[in-house]
Amino acid sequence: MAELILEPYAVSQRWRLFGNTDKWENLISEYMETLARRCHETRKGMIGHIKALALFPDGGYLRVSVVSPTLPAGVEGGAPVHCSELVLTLNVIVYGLGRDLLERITRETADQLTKKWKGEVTIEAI
Amino acid sequence: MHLLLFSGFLGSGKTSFIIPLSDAAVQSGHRVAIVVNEIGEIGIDNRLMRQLDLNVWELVAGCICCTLTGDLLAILQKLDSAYATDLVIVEASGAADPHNVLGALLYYRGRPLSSVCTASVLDPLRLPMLIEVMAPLITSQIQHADLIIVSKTDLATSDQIEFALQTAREINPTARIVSAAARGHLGAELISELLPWLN
Repeated sequence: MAELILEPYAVSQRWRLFGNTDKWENLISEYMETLARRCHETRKGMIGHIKALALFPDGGYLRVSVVSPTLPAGVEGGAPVHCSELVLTLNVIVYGLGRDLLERITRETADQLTKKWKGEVTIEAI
Repeated sequence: MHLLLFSGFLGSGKTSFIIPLSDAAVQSGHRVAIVVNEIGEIGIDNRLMRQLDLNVWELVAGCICCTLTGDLLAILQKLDSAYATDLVIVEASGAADPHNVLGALLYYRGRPLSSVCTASVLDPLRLPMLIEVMAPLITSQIQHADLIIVSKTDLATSDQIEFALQTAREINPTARIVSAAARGHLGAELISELLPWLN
C-alpha cells in the first residue's frame, strides 16, 4: 500500500459524443471504473472516493460514484435521450497518489475513452 | 433547531441517505438546511443537492472537524437566527472525526439546540480494509454515533454485513444499529430513528 498521502484532484470537463448519444451512463461508468483501476494499479493508490456529477444542457443529471477498483460504479439520475454533450464535474480522492499523477491518469483515461466512444473531451476548469 | 450529524468514511453512502431524509422532513412542513463538507476543491454533493432544489450550504477545501470548525458554527448560528431552520443536517467529510465536530458544538452561541443526533454510515464492502488501514478514524466514527447505519446491504454478502454489524456492536455497544440498501430508500422506521420528533 502506498503511503497514505491525500491530494484530491478535481476537474470540470465537457464531453461530446459524435456517434451514439444514448449511452452516457455506460460511458461515464466506464470512465470512473477505469480511473479506479488505474489508480489502484499505479503504486497501489487506495481509492477513497471517485465521484462525478454530469449535468446535461437540456436538464437531467447523472451522479456516478466509485469506491473500489473491483466494484462497479454506482449511478443515480438519468440522461436525456439524444443529448450529445454534458459537463462533468469530477472529484478524485485517492490516498497515496499525488495531484499531478491523478491529473495525468484522469486526462489519459478520458482521451482513451473518447477514442473508443468517438467523441472528445475538453477541460473546462481545474 | 434540531441537528443531525452524518459521519462515515468516503463513499459510504451518506449523501444517498441525506437526500431522501431531507425530502421527508420538507414534506412534513419543516424548514431544512443541509451543510455539506467535502474533501477537494470542487463539491459534487452540494451541486447534486442544488440540482434537486435542496437548501444546501457548502464548506469545501477543509474539514469541519479542524480547519472549518469556526465556519460551521457561523453557519449554524445564521441558520438559527436568520432562517428559523427546524432541522440542520450536517454531512461531514469522509475524513472528519465526529468527536471533534461534537466538541466544537460546545462553542455554538445560538439558541440551544433542540436535539443533536449523530449517525454514522458504515460501508460493509470495505470495512475490513478500512479497519486495517484507518483504524483510529473508523473507530471514532463508530464510537461517537447514536445510530449506526450499515449501508449497501443490497450489494454486500451476508458475511460482510455480519462483520459490519459485529464490529459496530463491539466498538459502540450502546448505539442503535440498523442496516439499509445502497440507494437510500429510507423506510419509515429509519426516518423515525433519525428524526424522532418528526410528525
